[in-house]
Amino acid sequence: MVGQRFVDELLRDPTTAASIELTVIGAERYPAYDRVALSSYFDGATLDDLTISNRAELARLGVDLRLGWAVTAINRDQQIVELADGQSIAYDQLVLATGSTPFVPPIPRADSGGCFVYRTIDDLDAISAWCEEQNVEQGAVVGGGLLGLEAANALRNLGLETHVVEMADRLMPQQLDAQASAMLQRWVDELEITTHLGFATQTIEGEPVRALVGSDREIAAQIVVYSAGIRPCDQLARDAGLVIGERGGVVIDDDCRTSDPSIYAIGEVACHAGQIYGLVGPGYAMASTVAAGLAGESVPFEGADTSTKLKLLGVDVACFGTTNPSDDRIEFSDPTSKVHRRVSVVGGLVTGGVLIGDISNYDVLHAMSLGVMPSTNVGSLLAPANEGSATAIELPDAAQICSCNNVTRGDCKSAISEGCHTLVELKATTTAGTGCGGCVPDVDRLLQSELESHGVAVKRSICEHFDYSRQELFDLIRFHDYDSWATVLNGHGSGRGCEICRPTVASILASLSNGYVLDGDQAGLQDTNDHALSNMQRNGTYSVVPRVPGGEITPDQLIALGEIARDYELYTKITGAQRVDLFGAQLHELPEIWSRVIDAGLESGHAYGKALRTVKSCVGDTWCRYGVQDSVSMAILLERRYRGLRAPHKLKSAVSGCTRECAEAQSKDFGVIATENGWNLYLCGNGGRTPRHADLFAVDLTDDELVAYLDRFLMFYIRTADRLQRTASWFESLDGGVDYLRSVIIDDSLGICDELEADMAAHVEQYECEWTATLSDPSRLNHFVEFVNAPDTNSVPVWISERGQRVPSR
Amino acid sequence: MTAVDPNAIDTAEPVEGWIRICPADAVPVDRGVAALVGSTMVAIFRLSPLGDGPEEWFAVSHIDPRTGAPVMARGLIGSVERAPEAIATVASPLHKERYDLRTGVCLDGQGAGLEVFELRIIAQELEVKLPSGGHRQET
Repeated sequence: MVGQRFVDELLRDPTTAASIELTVIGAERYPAYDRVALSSYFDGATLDDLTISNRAELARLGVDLRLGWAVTAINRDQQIVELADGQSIAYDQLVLATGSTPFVPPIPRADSGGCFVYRTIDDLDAISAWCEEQNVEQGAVVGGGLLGLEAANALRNLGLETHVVEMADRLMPQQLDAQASAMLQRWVDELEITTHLGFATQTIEGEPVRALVGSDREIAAQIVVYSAGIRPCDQLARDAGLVIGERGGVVIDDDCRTSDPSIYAIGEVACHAGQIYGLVGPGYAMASTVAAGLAGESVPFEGADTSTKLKLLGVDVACFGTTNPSDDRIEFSDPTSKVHRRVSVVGGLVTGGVLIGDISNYDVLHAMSLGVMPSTNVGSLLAPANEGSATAIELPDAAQICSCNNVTRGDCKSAISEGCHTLVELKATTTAGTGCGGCVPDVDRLLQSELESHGVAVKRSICEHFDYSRQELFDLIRFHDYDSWATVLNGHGSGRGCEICRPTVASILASLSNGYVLDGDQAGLQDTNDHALSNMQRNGTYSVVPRVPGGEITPDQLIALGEIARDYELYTKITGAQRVDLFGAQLHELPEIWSRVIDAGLESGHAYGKALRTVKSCVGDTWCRYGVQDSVSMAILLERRYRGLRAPHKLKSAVSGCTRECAEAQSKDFGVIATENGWNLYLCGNGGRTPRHADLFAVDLTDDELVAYLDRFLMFYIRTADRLQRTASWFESLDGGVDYLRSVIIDDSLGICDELEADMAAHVEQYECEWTATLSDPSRLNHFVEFVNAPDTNSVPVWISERGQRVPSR
Repeated sequence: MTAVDPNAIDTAEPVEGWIRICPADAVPVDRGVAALVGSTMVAIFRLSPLGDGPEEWFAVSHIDPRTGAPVMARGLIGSVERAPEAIATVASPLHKERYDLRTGVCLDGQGAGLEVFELRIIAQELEVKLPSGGHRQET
């Protein structure tokens, strides 16, 4: 990360970029990625999400990027580095950004099978592969520091019974005193991570590992992860005879130069004034120093603030400044809310502190410890905020807002006044929020308040043609009972609309049951797929997805689909939603193909709409030995009820026949799991890029209760969500979470349940298969012709054959 | 990439001058249609009046510049307010890049634009003219 930052900083100036010949050598196979967010890899993030290096951009700038190449030696006399395969690369200036390696404690049999470190993507892949292959149920982490708890979180995310062992008498002994650590311990206990303090590991039992053995107990574990600190990766520098610090690390001066003036060291491998920094912020500062130095400027590195604010296992933790046991202190501790807040005061000034469980006012207290604002009213800042009475404290411009990149509030404010009016622009210009991302909410708040104070209207409007959010637009259309684009645009919009507001209005009109979606001026609103009632693929042809309610399909229907696919040479694939997708149909073929689908007793599957897709099901108690309810029948009932329902985004659902959850209902927008007594309802789950487990909303419901709650839930979502907002992110934006949702849907706290049910009843009443409707009226077939002046001529896509089927050529 | 099959099109010889396409009424309002002019695929748009203005007509290439797919007539139309006037636009149905219908310039990013063709309505018939010397469809 630090190396990548150096490259970015160095090449930012085009003159430097043009005059320097840069080779980047990395031992890992991957371009630089975000190690700070590493544990999110087990929580849904992919390598792509974590990657921070843009290979294409580096290539464009002429950087020679060599990944998966280990440097074996530095030859200072000849100024070359030698690579593992015998090649050598010459340098004028060399920058070491080799980082650190995890420390593996010297215990017998530490390298038994099933023992891992926690540092790289490869480590994480190896850990998850091991857990899967060996059916691991219990895991142990050696080390109860910051990294150890991160690793514990990763094991927990893999579903293991997780143990953490720590030699000291408390968690995070480096940063926390006994009291603060005890409060953190309460949070950790609640997560059902078992901690073993004062535990000195004696040996590893078993090959592969069966247990971790201490002096007084044995902990059963089929995987052990060492996370007991880091050591600078300084072997190359040692071999080359560079000066090394007492506790390791390559010694550098304020220019980040090592004892050899042609060699620099930055990040965790460097030792500055006797200190090794294990944080990304100081590393980035060193990267800036060297980049500036090579461009002929001097920006000395004079040590760095190691204050840090983070979310550890979901707990807010912050440490800042310096604290000593002998300092005077002000503290607040509340075991009921598991909050501990303490600052050290020396000579009447705040010097540092620790906040656990509640980090409000961190920015102010941190600014005080840096001396950029006076230490006044410290006591009231430390007390937890009383709701409603929180007085906004004006932080000085010198106060830091982004600790990763050392960006101050003043930097952000000047960028805003110079024209950065969106979060994306502000992040790009100032780099604030582009490190760990933890400060992004603060940066956004600052942006909004600055814009307001500049008199720039903060718009939540969907686009330039409507000064309304989607929710406001929905309310307007519902209130006025509009039934066409013209009435909506003339009443509340401007211009001709665009590719954003037109489909939004189309979806709202459809949600409010305004008839066939391609009649009248609604035709001009429908997005690509809705307009053809099929899904456009990358070569302009379409795919056809018939509805298969609950995934139940008769042999005759399957045969019919096969015959259609064969006759039209359609590429055929089973989808993730228990349906069959037929690809490669041309616009003019769609009416014939859909007509045959309907003749086979199937109907439109609405895969082309932001609408209900499948209600997936497992086979349920009709067949399954374990099933407790008829999940297939319930899935079909729900799919038939909500089919064709247009919403702000697509809706997925599933019904499982027992607690084994084979239908994966908890990853759906609404999921139903059978119990002995009825149905449990789960809401607002998601798979895809940002998976979210659905929340358990209500238990042991009857069929009627289930349907009533779902009617209300779906219509409430359709009314209030933003454009293209799935239920999961809509849920995250609701103040009050699942309790609020229960109050609206079960207790009718807003008094709208009757309206919601009536809207749904209208939908169910008016539903018709859109393809049946299309085929029943010849005038609706007019636009399924490719060329208006040559109805019998069609373009010919270029196909190739792959595994016996027809696919677009690349 | 998609190409018009030369065997399927009997008007493949060079086309010059104004070519009659179809009755103007056959083109829907605010939704494009594609036409075949020789072997050139043209997307035609008829936009409803803005305020007190007249109906506006445009003809551009039917080929999406980013993917080569013949789909532009299936894009959503709209407008962008750029003082002193509103620019009529079409958005690619594939990845939603917007193009200025008058000039064909891409309004999102640096990508290639759409070729623009002349168009007129004579006696209720819509006609399109390709650049002089005929026109070769890029494939």
